Amino acid sequence: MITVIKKFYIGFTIFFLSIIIMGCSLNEGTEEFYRQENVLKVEIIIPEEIETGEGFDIQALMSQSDGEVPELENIKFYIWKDGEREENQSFQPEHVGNGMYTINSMIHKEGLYFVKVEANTNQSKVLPTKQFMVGAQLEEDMDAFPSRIDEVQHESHH
Amino acid sequence: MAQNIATNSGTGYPPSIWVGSAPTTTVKTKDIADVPWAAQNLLVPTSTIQGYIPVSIDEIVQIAQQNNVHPTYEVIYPRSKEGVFTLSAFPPKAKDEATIHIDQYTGAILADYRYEHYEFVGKVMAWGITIHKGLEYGLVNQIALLMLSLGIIAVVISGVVLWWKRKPKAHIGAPKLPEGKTAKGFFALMVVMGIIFPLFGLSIVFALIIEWLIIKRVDKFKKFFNH
Repeated sequence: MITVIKKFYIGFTIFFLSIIIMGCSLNEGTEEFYRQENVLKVEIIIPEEIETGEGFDIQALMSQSDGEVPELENIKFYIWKDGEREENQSFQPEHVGNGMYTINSMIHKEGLYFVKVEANTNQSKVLPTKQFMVGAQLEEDMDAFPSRIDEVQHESHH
Repeated sequence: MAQNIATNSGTGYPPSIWVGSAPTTTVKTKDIADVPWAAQNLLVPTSTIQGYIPVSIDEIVQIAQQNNVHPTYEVIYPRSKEGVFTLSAFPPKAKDEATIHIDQYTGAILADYRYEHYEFVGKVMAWGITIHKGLEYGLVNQIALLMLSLGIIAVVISGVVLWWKRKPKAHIGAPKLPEGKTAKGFFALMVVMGIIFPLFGLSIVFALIIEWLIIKRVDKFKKFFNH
């Protein structure tokens, strides 16, 4: 009886060690054997150049990993200037069809801005943020650029 | 090896928990903002500035809470531009395990693997590991393992003592291979096991090398090991 236990134990130890030392290759696409998410995807579309005082569209193209047009439960846009975020100020975009949501916007002050899209289906949720510039960019503007650090600190205050 | 076999055949852990790679971001690489602090004092064209920035750690923590991840989770940061945030929880009980990959730009959950999503072999392995660590059943588990290890120590010591008492003077006392009998089946089993569990295979190879290089060649050893 004891030798049986010992054999089991040795076997188990070898088995356990082999789990730790193993890290070799795996077949492609094995995730298909296991549970998969129907992931909500988003592409935020902003014009490449935006002038102050001129209207422009901010669009979010929503898609889903199963290829269907997602049925959103909720979608909101947030827009703010670097370092001047006001919480709870959100915009409700218009659904123009095929998963495309859009708002029209106009910005009077040049600088670095952020747009955040919060959207979810009953299975998946996204909250991407995209940064963009408004107005002409001069070299001096670039010096004031630790925007990401500002944003992170800002986020942690609430 | 064993992990790969199980995961590949769809019977083990889902990929990326022990073996296999994590998914990557769903956004296009060209739409990702260049890291501003690396280029702070350079003139940067607008098109380079425009782009996605990663979600904050606060948002990652929020996602973890919303998805009921066991509070022992760790956050593994993305290691590349296309990489993901990974929440990894290996709490005392196997049933609470979680591995969750989050898109670093959109915050979407790309994969959410819990114990209940492991296939049969994966579940057995996970359960075996937490028992082995003495965590699955708490104190009872640890006492049982203590008895087991004391038992093994006792077997080792008593084995040596008993052998020493009965050992013939000239040699080790191991029986010779019986005439007409071969160990082909056993040999085949060892080869297969040695491939599936490479460390075990290596120790067998090591033993064979010792036997072949030293024991078979030195008369004194040969006699002692009753060859």
